Amino acid sequence: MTDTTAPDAVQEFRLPSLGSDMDSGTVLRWHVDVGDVVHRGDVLLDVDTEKSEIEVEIWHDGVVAALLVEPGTEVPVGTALALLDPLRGDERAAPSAAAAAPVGPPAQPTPPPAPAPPSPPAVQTDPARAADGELTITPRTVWWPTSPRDTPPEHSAPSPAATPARRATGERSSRRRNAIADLMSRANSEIPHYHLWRDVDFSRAADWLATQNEHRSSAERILPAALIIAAVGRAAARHRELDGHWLDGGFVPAAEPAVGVAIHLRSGGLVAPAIADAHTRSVADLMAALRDLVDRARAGRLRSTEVTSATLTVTNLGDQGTDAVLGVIHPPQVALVGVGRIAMRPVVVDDDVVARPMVTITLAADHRATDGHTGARFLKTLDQLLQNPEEI
Amino acid sequence: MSESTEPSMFAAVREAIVAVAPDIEPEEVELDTDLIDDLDLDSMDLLNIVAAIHAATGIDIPEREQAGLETVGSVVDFLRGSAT
Repeated sequence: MTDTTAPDAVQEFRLPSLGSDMDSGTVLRWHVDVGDVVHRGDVLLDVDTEKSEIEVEIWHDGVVAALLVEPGTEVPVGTALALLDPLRGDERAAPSAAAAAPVGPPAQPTPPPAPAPPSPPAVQTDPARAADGELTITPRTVWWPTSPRDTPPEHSAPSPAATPARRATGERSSRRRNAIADLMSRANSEIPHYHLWRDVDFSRAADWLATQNEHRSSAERILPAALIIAAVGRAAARHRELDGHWLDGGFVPAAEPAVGVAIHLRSGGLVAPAIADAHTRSVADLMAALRDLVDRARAGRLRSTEVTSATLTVTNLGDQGTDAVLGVIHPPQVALVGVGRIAMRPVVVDDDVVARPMVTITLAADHRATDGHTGARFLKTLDQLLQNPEEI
Repeated sequence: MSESTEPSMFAAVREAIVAVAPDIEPEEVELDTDLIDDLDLDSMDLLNIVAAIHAATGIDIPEREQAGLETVGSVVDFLRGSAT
């Protein structure tokens, strides 16, 4: 089988932008050597960004012809890191030389299954960029997720909020803070937010979770967060106007939801990597994926597709007692779902006041992409899903 | 194990906490330390700690009990109660 789109010349693999206003990255370690066969999804190298260490994947097949940057070197985004030859027919079936799934942490008694890396959303590619034959690790759309640049670095002007000098001299944590500051400033200045909230009766969900967890050891127990992520994924699939990116003055819907999960890093800062297939996977499966994601986020072992592919994000701040989240959207996404704490509240049911576990779920949405009516329907769908957890 | 002493259960709890959240110094973990307010542990951390304690001691804290355990000491007390 011949791939008619396969390049027939040596291609450059360049350092992609992996996060908000990322100007440069430091090559940490290569996972491949010259001569190795690589396939899409393989991790080629680890890169240190301002926010965390990321495993950078390649989204094309090829044979490594040269590694151009030594570990320990900081290079600007867009720098050629490696050269790859196209695969010959007999090499296509060759196993990848690069390591496959990351090793799980030793503290857990039952290692969670390694998640499949999320596919990049299949939005239409820009014909102008595809024509120049540039090999990027993913289709053009991957440049989006948290970068203030809507286009690959060589095509964009620097963000007005960027101050390279500050970034060059600051420590890691202040650089991370600066990165978040730039992203949130951009969100607030560019996105006309509207906010909606809905108080959701969580009693059926809580009962379902309790039943599920009765027969599960702690290593396999399901947290409410996993159920909520499953519900958000399915609701996003039904309300596609909230699932995608605002690019070049218009909304580009995602082919399928890639739900970003906001994870607080104990060392300070925030990442929101995407969990794959939240709209189709079971709650138990998503719980395993969430455990693995949080472990790897804290250990700095997230993959580039995870940090660059989210199409809407969920942030859960109930653990510290927050009742409701008035969120700030992560551009270029157009929606952020906020989850507060699950707590007993007095509610009226059939003319009586009863105590029920309730949770306030909020939606922050980009008014350029949707109106409040759409957001309201999304929250209603989410509520209905959580009233029937056994059907998720 | 045939006999559980408070020091060894406390050590197991502390080890589990430090394993799940390596930024926490062992000295920070005392009996009256609040898991959420003092150690900033979230629900995922707490679940991972319970799993680590299970692996170390064989005692799996049931979900319905977990919510009532707010301090390190309350976890230790529960484990002592379960072991005897």
